[in-house]
Amino acid sequence: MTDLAVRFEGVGKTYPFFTLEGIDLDVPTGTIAGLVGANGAGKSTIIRILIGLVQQDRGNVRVLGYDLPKHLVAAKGEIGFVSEDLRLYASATLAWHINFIRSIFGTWDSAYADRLLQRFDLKPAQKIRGLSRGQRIKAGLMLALARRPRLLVLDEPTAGLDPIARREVLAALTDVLADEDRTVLFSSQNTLDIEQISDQITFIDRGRIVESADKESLLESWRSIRLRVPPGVVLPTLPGVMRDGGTDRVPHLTAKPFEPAMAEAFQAAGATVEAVKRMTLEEIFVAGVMRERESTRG
Amino acid sequence: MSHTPPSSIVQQLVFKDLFFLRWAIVGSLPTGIVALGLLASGSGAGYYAGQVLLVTVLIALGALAATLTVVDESKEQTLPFIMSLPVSSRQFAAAKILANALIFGSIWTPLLLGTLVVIQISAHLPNGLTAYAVLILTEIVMSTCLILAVAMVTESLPWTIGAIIFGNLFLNAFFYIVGHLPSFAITAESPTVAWPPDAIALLLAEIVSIVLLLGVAYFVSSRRKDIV
Amino acid sequence: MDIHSSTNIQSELSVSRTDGRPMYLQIMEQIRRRIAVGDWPAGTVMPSIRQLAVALSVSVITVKRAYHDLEQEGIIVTRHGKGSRVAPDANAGSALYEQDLQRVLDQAVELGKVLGYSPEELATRLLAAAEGPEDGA
Repeated sequence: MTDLAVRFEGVGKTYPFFTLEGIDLDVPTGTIAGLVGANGAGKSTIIRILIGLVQQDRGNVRVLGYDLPKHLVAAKGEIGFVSEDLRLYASATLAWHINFIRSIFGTWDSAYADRLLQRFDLKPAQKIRGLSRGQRIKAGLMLALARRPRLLVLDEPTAGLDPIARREVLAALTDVLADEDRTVLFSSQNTLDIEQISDQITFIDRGRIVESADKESLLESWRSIRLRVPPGVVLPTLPGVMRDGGTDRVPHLTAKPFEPAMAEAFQAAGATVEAVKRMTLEEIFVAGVMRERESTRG
Repeated sequence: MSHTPPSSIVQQLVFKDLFFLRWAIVGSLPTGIVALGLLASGSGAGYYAGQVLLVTVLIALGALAATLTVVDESKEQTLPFIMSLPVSSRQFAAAKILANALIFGSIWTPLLLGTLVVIQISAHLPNGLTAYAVLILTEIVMSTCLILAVAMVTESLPWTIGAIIFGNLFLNAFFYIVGHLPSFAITAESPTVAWPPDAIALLLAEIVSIVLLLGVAYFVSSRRKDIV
Repeated sequence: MDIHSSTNIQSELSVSRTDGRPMYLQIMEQIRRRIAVGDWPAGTVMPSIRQLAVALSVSVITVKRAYHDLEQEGIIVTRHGKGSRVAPDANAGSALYEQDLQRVLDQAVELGKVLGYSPEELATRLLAAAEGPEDGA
């Protein structure tokens, strides 16, 4: 059990206009887990439950071996949280924040803090009010990282960052993983960031988990297929294959789970397989969400 | 890897609020001393001006403290930052009440004592005014507690402003009530300190209200499950 | 003593997000090349999976996949608790190029079929290409 940093079992939360339902999520210790979802999909709600800013109505939440909300304070002592919604005190300097956090956490690592300040190009004497959006996110990340939390939780950490800042932030996140006991969970709308650094990927749509798998098997299980279908040829219906574009003559299909035998089956029916391609995470996300929405509608 | 004892987080949260309110605290004291000087000045206009200034300084400090330490925490979205620290809702509520008590008390206590001293030493102010002063100054504590309670329960600026306005109106009504206590007309002019039973009853009512208001603020705030 | 410490090794690799190929394939490809051209001789100690993931800012599972596949191909050898090393097979380098060549030839044949060339025509094209690029400029 202890090798899971996060475990959600049937977690739900009801709001007047939004319901999070049946969330089962396991994040093994020592991995980076990415949450992908559209705006309002429920990513932030999951994250807020995870760090105790919101309490679930249903289900069990276990974080770093602590049951939430029962052992929330102990859990929070080992979780670092960074979000755009989490603001620092505008009238105080970064140095004041550093002192404040250091006074609370015995785990504060001053040498690491100094390295992060340098790496992120942050000036401790500067007031938070004068920082750009990117600098604020980096300041929040620096304050969270230098505590050396066992679990780092980030809500949209790369949103609105310039390319250099984004690179620094992603590098800082993967650095955490040099230590096998630390875990990172982050949400993003940027599938490229998620694809680059996540070990495990979870798609969320409309308050539900659409898919959750380790990244390599996720990328491996999906393929897009382009066929050429001569008139009169009827394509066989294969499980997991759906059309998502193209024309009757040149249909574009997605397959999940993809089997090489699928191409053979199409060929045997008289169609030409023009291309079988791996899909980007973004394409997989869109295809997965569209499938889920269609199946729940029916 | 030392783990911080849970009591110190409350301490750190209180220090933080005191730090952010330091200029308000530092600015209130000289203003309050000026008010005491006016009270002691001996002129009727001076006494009136001193009383208004004293009441204003205290009301303003209490309202400012509640707004900046409670309402702004949620309005400026610093609440998620604070609540992501190892702090429980109970500790957070306790820290807020303690911080406001220290900020307000650091000015109220010297000004109360100063007022009593001024009444004692000023020949033109009968010592019988003591009960009146204590009742008024305690009412201001009650008003401040009302503002703090509304701020902690609603975390909303409009509601808090409403509480500030209500507190002010009530204070004016209170001046009228105390001024028209049957016993007051006699005691206020008395050369010695006197506590007629209705003044004591009023004081007790104020103290009970203060305890109730803070109790409700703590109870509701410490049971909040969802921060955002 | 190995001339190539792990830190040198990982800074000789890079991944690109716009490359189009999966990141694990990019990593495999670059490791194969470094070995093939002799930069990393047999027995060279490879960085640990976590070290390489941190150095490249990619996920652990991506590097794990690359190492796993390289091991399947016999290019690196992993011993439990001792990490991975470049395989002792001296011919690994030329064998790799052999594989590359075969892949390109297969593609040429495939394209030839699409364009309707006979095998003879394709062979002529290959000979012409071998004589050197026409200097058009």
